[in-house]
Amino acid sequence: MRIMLKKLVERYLRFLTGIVIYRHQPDIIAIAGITSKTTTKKYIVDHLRQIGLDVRANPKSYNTEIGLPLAVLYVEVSGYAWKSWLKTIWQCTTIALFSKRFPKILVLEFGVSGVGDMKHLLNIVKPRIAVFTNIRPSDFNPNTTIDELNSEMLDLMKVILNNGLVIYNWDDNNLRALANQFSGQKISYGIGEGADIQATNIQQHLDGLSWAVYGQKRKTIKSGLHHIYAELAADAVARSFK
Amino acid sequence: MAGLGDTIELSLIKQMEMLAMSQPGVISLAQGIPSFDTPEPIKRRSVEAINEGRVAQYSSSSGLSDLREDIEDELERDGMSYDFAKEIIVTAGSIEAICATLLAILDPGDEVILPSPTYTSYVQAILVARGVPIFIPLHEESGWTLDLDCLKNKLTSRTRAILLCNPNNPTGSIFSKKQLLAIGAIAESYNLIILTDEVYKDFIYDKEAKNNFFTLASISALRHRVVRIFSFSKAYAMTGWRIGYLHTDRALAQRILRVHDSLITCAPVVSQHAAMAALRLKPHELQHYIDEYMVRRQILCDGLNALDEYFSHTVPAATYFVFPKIKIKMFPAYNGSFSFAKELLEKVNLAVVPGIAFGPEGEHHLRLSFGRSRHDINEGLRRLSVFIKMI
Repeated sequence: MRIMLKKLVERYLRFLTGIVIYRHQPDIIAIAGITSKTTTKKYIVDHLRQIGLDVRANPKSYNTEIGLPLAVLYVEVSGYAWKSWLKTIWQCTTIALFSKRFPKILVLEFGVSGVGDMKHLLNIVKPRIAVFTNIRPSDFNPNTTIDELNSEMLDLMKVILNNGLVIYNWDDNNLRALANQFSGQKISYGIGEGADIQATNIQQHLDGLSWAVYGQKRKTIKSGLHHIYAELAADAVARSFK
Repeated sequence: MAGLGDTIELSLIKQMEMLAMSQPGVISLAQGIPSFDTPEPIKRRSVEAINEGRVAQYSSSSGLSDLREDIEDELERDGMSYDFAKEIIVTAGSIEAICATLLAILDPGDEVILPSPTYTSYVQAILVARGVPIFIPLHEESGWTLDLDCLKNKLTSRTRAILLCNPNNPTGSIFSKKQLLAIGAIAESYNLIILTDEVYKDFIYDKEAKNNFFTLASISALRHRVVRIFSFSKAYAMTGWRIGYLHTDRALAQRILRVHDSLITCAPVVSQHAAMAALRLKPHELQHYIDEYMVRRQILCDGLNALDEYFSHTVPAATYFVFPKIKIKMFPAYNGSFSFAKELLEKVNLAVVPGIAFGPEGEHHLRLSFGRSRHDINEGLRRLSVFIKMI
């Protein structure tokens, strides 16, 4: 009974998501990969807002079959009792049918745990731009193989249309191999030689990192190379909107 | 040479707990555990992880990368930047984090500075690492502040680390930014590692104090010598899940990781999934716990106020402990806090922790927990009054 109800809610939310996307036609950016999706999402949102675009992102936990529709509709679950769910569903319905304001761009994390997850997410929304962070063995999904993860990511690449864009991490061998199979528009980023957007002269300081891109020096107080990757990916996204 | 099992004793808290458990009808204000069950969303997520087959295998030694990313986000919200890939280690609670760190940095006979009074199990952790605990007093009259001159005087060529509990268990006091910066400067001058156990950071009751809470782990220049430790046990009512984390600069983190890996391979994976759910709780989902603790603190402090002829206390700014001082002249047969606590247990079935358990400066005090239910607190206070009438 509980599973049937869950399925019913999933279908209804997917239906409402379809309506709201049809009504407002937002540009959708998907972020996929094993790690650093949230960091990359934050950088992308920041970069797009800096160039004056109307953008919204999904909170971290919203990357499941129920979570993704809630993220698109921008509704927060207020509790787990059935009364709270009724309230949530009512809010979603109102927004889907009557909302007047809606962001022009949605940045959504596409979390994939196992085989078939990507197809489920793509049934809900179809992104125009896909950003890939990395593909590596994940202890969060110990039963999913690299080949299966590659196949999931490929599913996302396949839906990117001619006017779309794939942005991928050049330093990730799996992604580089997948990108070779993609004939549409693509941009790579990374620190390795050959990336379209390449960070060079990376230096670790006591108070963060510095690097250069397009000959310009950049700096962050953050710790960890993934911040450089996220910044490069965000750079690629922002350039595609200029 | 004797093994550690022959030389290390159970902490006085554990001894009191064991005595209390052997006696029927005991009310315990001794245990430092929340009376609440783990919040539902955390339990639900854990069950899902079990059912989805995600918990049967080891994670990487440093923990699930998704969890460490969440921790990185959490730290960023608190003004700290640590790399989830290399600078954050998920541990089996805070005490494993402390043991692994001490084992990674101490040679046998090295000294570790401990404020007194402070959490009793630190001593055992230092002894496990074949170190020597050196107490420096906290001054009760000035709000349990650290005696910095005494700290400097106790430094020797064997001093390797300073271990702080902030907010401090059992006093409920918070070290000021000024004091912490002074400790940081001393650590810098004498090349010391600072371990800062911040397991009670979410139990600061005054809004201003909460906003002013400071950690040395937020200072870039000190990150290579500060190991900050957090546990999910208290903030999320998860003491039995044994899950926490530490973070520090990558070079030191990698040294600690090697010991952590040798000790436990990885933190329990089901608990790591639970920790992820905990970090995704919204602040309002936790606020009612804090509100309830504030009510309980009031009940306990009001009760102690009514007994102010016999005990003096300050209202704790943080944690869920009150640390009243025994007015020993009112107890003619008084023979130390341990005997006092034992008598309380024997005569009125009330378990508390004797202050001596927390170091020399804890003597003549008792630690009472308001992590327990209102009923237990009220009944504990009633039994304390009965005990006083028996004198």
